[in-house]
Amino acid sequence: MVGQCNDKVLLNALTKLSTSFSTLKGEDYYESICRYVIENFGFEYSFVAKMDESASGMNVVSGWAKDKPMTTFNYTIKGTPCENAIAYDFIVYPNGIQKEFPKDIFLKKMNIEAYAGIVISNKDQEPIGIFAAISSKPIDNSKLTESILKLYSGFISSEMQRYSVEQRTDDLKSIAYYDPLTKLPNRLLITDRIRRAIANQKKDKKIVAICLMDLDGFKDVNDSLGHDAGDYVLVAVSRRIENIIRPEDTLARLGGDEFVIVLTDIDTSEHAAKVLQRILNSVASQYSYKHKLINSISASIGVSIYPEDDSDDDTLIRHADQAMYKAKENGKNQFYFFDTKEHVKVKANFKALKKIEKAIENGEFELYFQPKLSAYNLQIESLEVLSRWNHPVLGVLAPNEFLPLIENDELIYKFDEWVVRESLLSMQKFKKNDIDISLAVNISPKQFQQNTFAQKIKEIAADMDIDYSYFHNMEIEITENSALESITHTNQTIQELNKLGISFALDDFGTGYSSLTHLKELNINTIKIDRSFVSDMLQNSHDMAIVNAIISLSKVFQIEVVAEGAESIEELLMLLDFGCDSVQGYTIAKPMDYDNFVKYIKSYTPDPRLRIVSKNLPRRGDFELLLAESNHKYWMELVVDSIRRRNLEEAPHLSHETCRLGKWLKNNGKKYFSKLDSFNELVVIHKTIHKEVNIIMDLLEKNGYDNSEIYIEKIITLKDELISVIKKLKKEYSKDKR
Amino acid sequence: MSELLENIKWSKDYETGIEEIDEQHHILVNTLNEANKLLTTDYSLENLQNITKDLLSYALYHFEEEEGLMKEYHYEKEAPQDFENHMKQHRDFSHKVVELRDSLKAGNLIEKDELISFLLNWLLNHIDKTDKKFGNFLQAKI
Repeated sequence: MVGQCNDKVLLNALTKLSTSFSTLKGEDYYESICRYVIENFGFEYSFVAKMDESASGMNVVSGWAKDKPMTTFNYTIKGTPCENAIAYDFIVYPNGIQKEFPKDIFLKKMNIEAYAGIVISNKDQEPIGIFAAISSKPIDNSKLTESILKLYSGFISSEMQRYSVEQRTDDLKSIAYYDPLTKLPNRLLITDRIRRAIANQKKDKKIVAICLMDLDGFKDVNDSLGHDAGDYVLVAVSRRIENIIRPEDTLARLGGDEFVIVLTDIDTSEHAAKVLQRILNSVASQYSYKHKLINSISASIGVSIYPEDDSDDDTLIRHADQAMYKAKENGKNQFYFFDTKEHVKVKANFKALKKIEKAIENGEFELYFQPKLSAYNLQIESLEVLSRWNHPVLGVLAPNEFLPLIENDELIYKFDEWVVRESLLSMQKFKKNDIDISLAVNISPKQFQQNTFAQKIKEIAADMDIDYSYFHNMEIEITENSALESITHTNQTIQELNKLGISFALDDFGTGYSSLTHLKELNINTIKIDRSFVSDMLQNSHDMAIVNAIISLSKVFQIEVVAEGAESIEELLMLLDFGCDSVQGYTIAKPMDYDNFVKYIKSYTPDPRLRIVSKNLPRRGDFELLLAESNHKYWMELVVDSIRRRNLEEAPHLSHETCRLGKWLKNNGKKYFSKLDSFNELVVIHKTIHKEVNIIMDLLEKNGYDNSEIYIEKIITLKDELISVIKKLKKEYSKDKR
Repeated sequence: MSELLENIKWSKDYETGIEEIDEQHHILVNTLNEANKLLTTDYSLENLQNITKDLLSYALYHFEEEEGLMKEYHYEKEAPQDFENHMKQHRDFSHKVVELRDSLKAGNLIEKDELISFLLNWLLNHIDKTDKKFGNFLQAKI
């Protein structure tokens, strides 16, 4: 009967386990069991305790006291009934327990009469805890008590083992996902948070701001006050930010002084900006560590906004990081939003770079050669090596269409190396073709400034098995700015390569920080006058003065001087007359590929017009005519242009006596040309031109610009007449010379 | 003129319907706006150099993209006049940019309004007319 009854009770207890308790775990699970025991079996207290590591202490983790949960406590088992429960696995004292354990103050205090306790063991049968039920009244049914306790102890045991594993995993997780110093989520967890924020955004139609924050001045704190102070600042910063952001936002520490803030539930980036400004202000206010005030901390924050920047979590952090560097660059203590437009452009530019790199690998580049005319014998003794990109789609591209894109990129190293290698190969080919010519090779500033540049040239030669004798025909062109970056380095490199026979030219001379002092300091062999002066010198007396001065300067320093960009025979003649050692330009020849260059040089004869510079001619007068002619043409064109723009103020009134041609007619013209028939003709037409043009200008200025077309025509006719008379004069002059 | 430009926004009207091309046109519109903004606050050689450098790069990848498509779909053969006109405009653009850079090097800085109106003209004439013509041609093919 009693057996049957007990079975039913046990069955109920078991049912309870598999129903109401089954969803619970750990402390809650134990608590429910204890409560069930109290409410159904006449006990007043029941608890589950875990044995601590010393095996002599117990930590009550959960329990029930009469009508409420028990507060947890620790106790030592020595001299308590629990000691026996552990020793005998199970023990029950139906009454009079205080006599058995006189030292147990607890029993006395609580006025306990009866006790039942059972050991909780792990799967190796080692004790890990205890499950006990006590009462101030004697126990009636010890048998049932034993059955109940035994039944539950098994379940408690397995839960305790399972749960401690889970807790240990949680601890591990906490180490893996949280920063131990600030207790903030770390890098691993934040990516997960961002992913979740993105997923939620898709539902809520809000935006997500991913903010990467780096502290300014943190290193100084660490260095001057020690790492403890640094740690203090990190924790303080975390708490300050936590006070500003909302619970649904996340603050994480990536490591060092880098943090990530994920702002969710915001509508616009302006909204995010407001929050960030508060964060900046808060972080930048002062800290006090061990009575020392720290005022030097602020934050730089980079922000990427999802979905405006429709990227994944890693990319969003990277973009925020890039923006953070912008914030630092712009002066710190500020935030900067990642610019997707800017980024698209940067990406596109990067694509262009990649194309160029591929083109180098695919052999789409080709060397072109432009001859330089030597003033001494009017022969071609040197050339400049240029490059062309034979683009499969866009056709032939000149260096100024692609070099600007790579000159500041590391790709320029590859390109320059290609140029050097190809140039050396060409030198071998020229030699085989019996062409003795020296090559000027352009090297980028970035490449030239490398400390290893001289070494690199040697390595290339060694790799190609090139005889060093070829270097005597090699000149390297560097720009002024490149040479002046470090004069010491420039001179060392020049010296080292001079030893091999390579000479150096300063390119684009006159456009950079040209200075006499620098020219004196640099061990340069040649200067090249920039084309911009050459192309304007016939029209612009300042440019002509500059060209002349540069040439004189080079004579003083005994540096060779080359002019480039000579596009007309007049320019060429003038440059030779000024004393250029050699000249380069379209009027001599355009850059050509190898085969065409070989053809060109094999059939080269100097332009007959160059005879003009031979010594027996009154060269000065001749050049002055050239100059006067172009000056006059320029003036008349300016007048026409000003009439068309209805603004004659820009065109000067010139008298026939003071203009350059007028002066020439009076001086050297008269001296060398006056015996020729057309000389007088020129004097007359010149005077007429000045008279007519000045009248036209006055008329128009007075009466307005109506009918200006007629006057323009008139001026153009006069100009043509002038040109044809000068032509005639020159012809007569050259006939006369023979 | 530049006040007017504050509001240049990408418009559906500019679209050719070819995604890659439209995206790159978009970049040019942004470059134009940015140049306008940048040069208004800081008209400097450095900014002009950066802007023209971006334009060079743009000419490289964008024209290659378009001209590659022309080749692929035999634009030259099927619409020789349009093709020729289109190519000429591309070359003119590149030459203009190279010319700008050369004159920057020689110390002649292009006026902001001149640069902006050059880009705006390109946008209105080339993208809105010439490119759309090619876009229509392509869409009929794809």
